[in-house]
Amino acid sequence: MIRLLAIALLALLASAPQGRAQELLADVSEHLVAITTGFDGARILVFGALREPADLVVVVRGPARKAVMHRKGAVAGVWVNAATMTFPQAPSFYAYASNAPLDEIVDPAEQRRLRIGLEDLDLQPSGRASPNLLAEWRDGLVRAKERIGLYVEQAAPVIVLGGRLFRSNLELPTNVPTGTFLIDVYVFQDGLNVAAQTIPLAVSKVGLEAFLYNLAHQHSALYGLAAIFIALLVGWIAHLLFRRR
Amino acid sequence: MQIYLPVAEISLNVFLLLGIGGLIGVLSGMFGVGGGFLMTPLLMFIGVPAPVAVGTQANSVIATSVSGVMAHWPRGNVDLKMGIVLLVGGLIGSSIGIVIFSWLQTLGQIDFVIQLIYVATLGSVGSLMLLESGRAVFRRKRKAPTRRKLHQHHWIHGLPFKMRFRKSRLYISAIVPLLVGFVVGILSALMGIGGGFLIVPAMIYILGMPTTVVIGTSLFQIIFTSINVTFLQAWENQTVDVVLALLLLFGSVVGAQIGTRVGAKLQGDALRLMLALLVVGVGLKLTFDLFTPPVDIYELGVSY
Repeated sequence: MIRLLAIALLALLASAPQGRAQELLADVSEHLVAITTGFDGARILVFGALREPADLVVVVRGPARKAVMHRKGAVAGVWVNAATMTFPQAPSFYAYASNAPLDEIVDPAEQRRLRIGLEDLDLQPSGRASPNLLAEWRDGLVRAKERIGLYVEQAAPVIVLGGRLFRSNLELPTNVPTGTFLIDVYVFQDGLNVAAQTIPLAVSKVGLEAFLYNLAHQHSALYGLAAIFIALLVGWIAHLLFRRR
Repeated sequence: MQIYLPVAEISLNVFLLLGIGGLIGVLSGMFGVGGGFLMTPLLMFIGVPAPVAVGTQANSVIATSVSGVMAHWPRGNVDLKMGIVLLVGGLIGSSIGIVIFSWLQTLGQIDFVIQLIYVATLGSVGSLMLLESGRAVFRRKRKAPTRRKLHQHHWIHGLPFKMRFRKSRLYISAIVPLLVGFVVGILSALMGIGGGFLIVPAMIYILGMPTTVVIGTSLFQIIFTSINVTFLQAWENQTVDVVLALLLLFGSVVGAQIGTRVGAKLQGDALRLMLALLVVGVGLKLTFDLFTPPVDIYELGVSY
């Protein structure tokens, strides 16, 4: 693994434009996460090199999706959905990694500007609410996403070797949404962002998984009939098998 | 061994799914219920999104009921005529039920209404069965069985359009099974299940059918109602996961064979008592959930 990393880094450095040296070069171990039948989460290695020692933050953002939140309330002792709030463009996945705690390496204003950390996510609701109520809805959404492992705070450490080489292992859970992810690598010096690179990562169902998903969504009636037919067939075969005994 | 489910979009253990299928299959074979009222909560508990749990369990119930009916058929335990009358009522009922479902959805309280219906039906059906079957088992243990009339006569038997159901040894108005099928159809469309645990007691206590015929006949009826539910769920909501359904199927068809054999060896009263205990148990659990404060009052809704 280390050797592969070194070779990949050399290749990267070799392909870097001549003349003005770049502050940052980064890449990921794979650009496509294929969801197959045996998919059990994925591990993405983010690696790269720095021109001079600095602090690093790696942020992984999933495609924006609609998120519907409910607030429960007790009515005569029974817990019901008392209110609903929709976030039309919430990140479906969010995780970050850094070489030290964020508050030690990133200036708070920079952190807010770059939307690093779960407290500064870009979450805009479609409905109206007073600012403090809105904050509660947003915190509620973040907590709910954290519970199912789709928002991860300080997902992994960023390991820096000799102040120049860095790597970080980021894990995608089994319930990872599909679509185009963006991995941002930010370089900080004295708390200020001096360089950044964005690497796209495609998460996609392939093979049988993709076929079934597309069939279910694009040819729903056919899919339904096929599901019924299979069930009838299995029931009948099971009966034949067990009757013989 | 993990397997990724394409429609549910999560990865689950193969043996866990086979095991759940097997458990539901045993129940199905023993009691003639599809087991949807148990499978849906179980699937949701292991992380399957609720709409996918509802749509997919209907699909797997088809196979269990088919092999169940085929096992009961040679024993003469399927009253085809009764099954068809119930089915006609059931299909009308479930079509109306789906309209009510959409209407409740626009009101925004569908989750709560479904939960309430579950609690109300499981609770009332379960406790009625528990009382009756408990009394019957107790009576049988105490003294030798006294010869009872085949069934009680009351106002139901004065209704017109009488039909003879030979296998069930009944001569009653067709309106009664039609109405039973209709009401169960509405409820099962709302709850997204086959409705076996509702129709079995209705056949025993309202129609007065013998327990032996009830199981085969209800399974016959469930085949068609679950085909209806599977198709509508796949077509309208895309919530049927065939990979999940197949795993549940393999478990449940094996389980159903075991269940049918076990059921054949047990007394009807004892069977009813066991089913009653199960129904009451699930009902109590759901009632308890209704009053339990949530982990966090802010919850992510299902966006299907």
